[in-house]
Amino acid sequence: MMEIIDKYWLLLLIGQYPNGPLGGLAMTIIIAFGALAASLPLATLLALARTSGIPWLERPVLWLVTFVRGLPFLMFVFWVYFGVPALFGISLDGVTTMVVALIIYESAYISEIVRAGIEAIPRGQIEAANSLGLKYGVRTFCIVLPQALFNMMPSLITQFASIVKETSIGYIISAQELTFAATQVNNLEVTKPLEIFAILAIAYYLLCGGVVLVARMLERRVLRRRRQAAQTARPLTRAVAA
Amino acid sequence: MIRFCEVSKSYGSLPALRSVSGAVAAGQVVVVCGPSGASKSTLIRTVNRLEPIQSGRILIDGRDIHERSWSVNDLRSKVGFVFQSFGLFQHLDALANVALALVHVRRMPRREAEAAAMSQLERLGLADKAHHMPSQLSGGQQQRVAIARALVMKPTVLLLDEPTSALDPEMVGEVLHTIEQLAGAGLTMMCVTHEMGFARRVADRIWLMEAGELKVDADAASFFAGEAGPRAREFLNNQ
Ligand SMILES: Nc1ncnc2c1ncn2[C@@H]1O[C@H](COP(=O)(O)OP(=O)(O)OP(=O)(O)O)[C@@H](O)[C@H]1O
Ligand SMILES: [Mg+2]
Repeated sequence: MMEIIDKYWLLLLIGQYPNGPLGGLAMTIIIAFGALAASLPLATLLALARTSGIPWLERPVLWLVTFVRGLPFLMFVFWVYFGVPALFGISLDGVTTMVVALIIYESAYISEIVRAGIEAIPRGQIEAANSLGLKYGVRTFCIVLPQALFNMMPSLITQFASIVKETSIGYIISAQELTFAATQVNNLEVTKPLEIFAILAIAYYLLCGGVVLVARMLERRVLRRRRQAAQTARPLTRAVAA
Repeated sequence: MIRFCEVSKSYGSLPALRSVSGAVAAGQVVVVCGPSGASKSTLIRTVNRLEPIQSGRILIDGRDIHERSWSVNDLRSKVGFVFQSFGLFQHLDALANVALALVHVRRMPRREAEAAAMSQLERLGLADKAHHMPSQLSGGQQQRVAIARALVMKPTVLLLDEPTSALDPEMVGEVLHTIEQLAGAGLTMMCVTHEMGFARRVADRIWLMEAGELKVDADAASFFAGEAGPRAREFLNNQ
């Protein structure tokens, strides 16, 4: 196992770069991060629509989100991979296909995280904003979303770990990411599939496990902050003074 | 200055305000009291349209607050509201809480807004807390920041909904003291409270509510002298 790592670590880490396309673990992280970063604003828009209180906006978004969440991720990969060239006459490479498919899929998932974050903002914060005469936009972008996003950070980081795992599907459309690099190694070293895929598993585990660990630490901080806030604002039993 | 004309409201089928009429003159302090569930909160929340009403009219300085040409946000920016549980924005420090609406509603340049917010905090003795987050302040300090946030908008009227009920007993005094100073300075106020000692000191009029009706609307002196009818006497005796 060590000799495989010794021999191929660079390929697993960055693919054929700089002699060929960037790949390996580096590309896995780039795909996952890019997908998360691009999904977040979309997911926020979906979540705002879901919490808008306007039925003709809430309904279609609910259907859309339910629809996307009801299908396996691989379907989206195929749709983008085969559908985009058929519909628009442009062909996408594997990495772009993965990013686009992930953005569609994750926007739906993350919108549920954002919605939960928005709905967890105490009513008093909204009423206080309203009573100052703040318009919807100010209330949303200065009061609701900053607090919701802070509280959601652990969930978002955990979601990043699950995106990292989803990127492995890119292998079947030849997106040059970590799994793809591992299969390249496997093709070169035909007799050692167990070792090679064990290394692959360890690599994913270290990356995702590390990310989840960070998320947990953050979660404790967020909880502590929220508990503090709740404590200082707790309504005590009424003191009746005569 | 504030006039309620036969204001009625219900939550679904539950009547909450039954044809309430009354007036708060400019510079007056009206203390609204009454048992729990009497609709005291509902009444003052109708004034800045946090609660819609089904019939009647509410006028501020002669102008109907539901008038089409008066936007709800403009109305609210002129009516200060202080909540029982403070409602400070948890992710902003005291100064930013106070300056926020100046920037976003009054369209004041940020620097100017922060200067105005700072001097408002100073007036309430909170200058050294300007850069504290709400979670780093005591309940009493938080409520005074909330009052500063309402005052900095130079409201024509200040509404307070049980401003001291969420406070530990030792912090009630500082908040009441702040409100007393405002009353002394001639700010028009409606304050829901159970602190009858405080009511005696600041109120010009007492409104006693029961089951959604304004049962007693009396001069504070006669109310506390027991000259405002049997209901008022009964209420005072139960305190
Ligand atoms: N959002 C609401 N939806 C339905 N019913 C409500 C709502 N808010 C208040 N009520 C009801 O209306 C009545 C009056 O409530 P309100 O909060 O105005 O009373 P209050 O006098 O302020 O009481 P307290 O002293 O407990 O604060 C109560 O019966 C209450 O249950
Ligand atoms: Mg109340």
